[in-house]
Amino acid sequence: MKTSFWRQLGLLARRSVVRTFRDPGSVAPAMLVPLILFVLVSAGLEKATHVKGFPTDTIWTFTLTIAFANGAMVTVANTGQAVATDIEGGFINRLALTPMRSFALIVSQLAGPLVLGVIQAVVFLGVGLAAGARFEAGPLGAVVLVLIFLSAVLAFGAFGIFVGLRTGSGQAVQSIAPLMTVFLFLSSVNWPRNLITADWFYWVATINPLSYLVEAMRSLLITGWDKEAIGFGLAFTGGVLVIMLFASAWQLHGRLVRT
Amino acid sequence: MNAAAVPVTSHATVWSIARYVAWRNLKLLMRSPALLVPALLLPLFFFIAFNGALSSLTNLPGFGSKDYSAFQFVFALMQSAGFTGAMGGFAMSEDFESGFMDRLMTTASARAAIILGYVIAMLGRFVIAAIVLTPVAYAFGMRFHGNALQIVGLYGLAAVLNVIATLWATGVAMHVRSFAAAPGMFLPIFLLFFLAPVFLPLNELTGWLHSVAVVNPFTRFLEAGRGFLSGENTDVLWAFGAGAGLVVLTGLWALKGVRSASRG
Repeated sequence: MKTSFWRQLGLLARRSVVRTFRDPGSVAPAMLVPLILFVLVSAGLEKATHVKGFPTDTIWTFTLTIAFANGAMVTVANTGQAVATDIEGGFINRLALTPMRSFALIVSQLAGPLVLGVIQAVVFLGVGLAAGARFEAGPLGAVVLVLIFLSAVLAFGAFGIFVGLRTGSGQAVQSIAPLMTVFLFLSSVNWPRNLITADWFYWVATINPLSYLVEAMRSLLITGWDKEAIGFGLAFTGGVLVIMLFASAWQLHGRLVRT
Repeated sequence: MNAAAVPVTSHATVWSIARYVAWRNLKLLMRSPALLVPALLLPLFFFIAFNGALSSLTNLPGFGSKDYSAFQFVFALMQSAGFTGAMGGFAMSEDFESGFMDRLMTTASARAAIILGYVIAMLGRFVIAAIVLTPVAYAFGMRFHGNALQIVGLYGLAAVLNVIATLWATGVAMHVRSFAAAPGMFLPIFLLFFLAPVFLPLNELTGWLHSVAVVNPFTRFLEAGRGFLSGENTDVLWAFGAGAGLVVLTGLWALKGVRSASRG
């Protein structure tokens, strides 16, 4: 009996959601690590607002994007680990014996992280506003920030699926996932680009696409409605999502052929 | 039980088990160098990122030193030591999930030697990470102002931290015996690091972070390390004292894990 694509997608997406919330190892880091970074970096850099030209008097307004950007990146570990576990446990091999569509398997893995992303966004916003962060773009700006964040969750989730399929190892995924945080710190997340004094780092931050994701979200907090910044941010997440979905489909195909 | 069936636990047995476990882990690293990625690249990139982005913080009145590269290098070196240790727990979890650890626990008469093997292997990984990290930091402007003994002190302190992190992470792995425990191995170490004076000196921190950093033992590691690098002896006894205490505590935790894993 042939099951429709949407039926396959629905069943696998439900499995992804249940599995995400059943595993405290997926939920806790996704909620806690970004908040911890947000709080620690804000507390550690509190005196940075005294530097001439710093764009805001409240460090929490500047650093709230750390929580959102890092929260999206944690998805790499979650989707990657889920796929690696499926490979190590033989689930993918068993699915290969069924008429399952590769694309349904890949896209459905994003369902759990997306639902978790909505909860992350509500918590991050709540904590950020309570700490003193404010939106120059008003309440609608907060909504747009959440939408940019969810697009990033999908993009990084797709990247995690690719890594999981490529390596097939939980240890490898857990090794690579923290690097995402590093690439975030190689962007303008900690410091405004116009105040970076080291030329080489200004160049690194400028070519790092994560700077544009961060600046898209930060513009809503600090500048107001900056269409160019928002456009760059969405172009980045959309591009990564499409490329990683196709790359994952290619990896899955290769793995099934080997099987 | 006849005499021949009684397990013999001599120093030679302990050493041969530890050596086997250590060598196996180092061989795995040679076969899959990506395993060194977090311990090497993570601190390296943090060093580059913080050094590049935040160097203008030295302009704040009260910062003291103008050498932000040296200030951040010590943090990067300690991070590298800690993260390599955490990777010991990851490696052990993978060995549990693959069934290798069960076989090892069955055959090894001195099970605590397994922990010793991971400690040696992770020290080996840390040495590789430090060998790469130091010249890169030098290229980014970090300079040693301390004497030879102080430099030995800096790397010795990092090695102690590596042992503490390995004992902690392998203890978690022994208790949980699943990769699901990975955040429990990594997060406390990560948290300890960032509750210390990372971006600014201790005297420049404000509010709750200052209060926490003062009692955080990792702050002593950073203060002593930064002192060694700049040629001053700051908090040396505090740092090594805290290190010795933590080695004992995490060692007991790891041994408790061995007992827990032995019971199944």
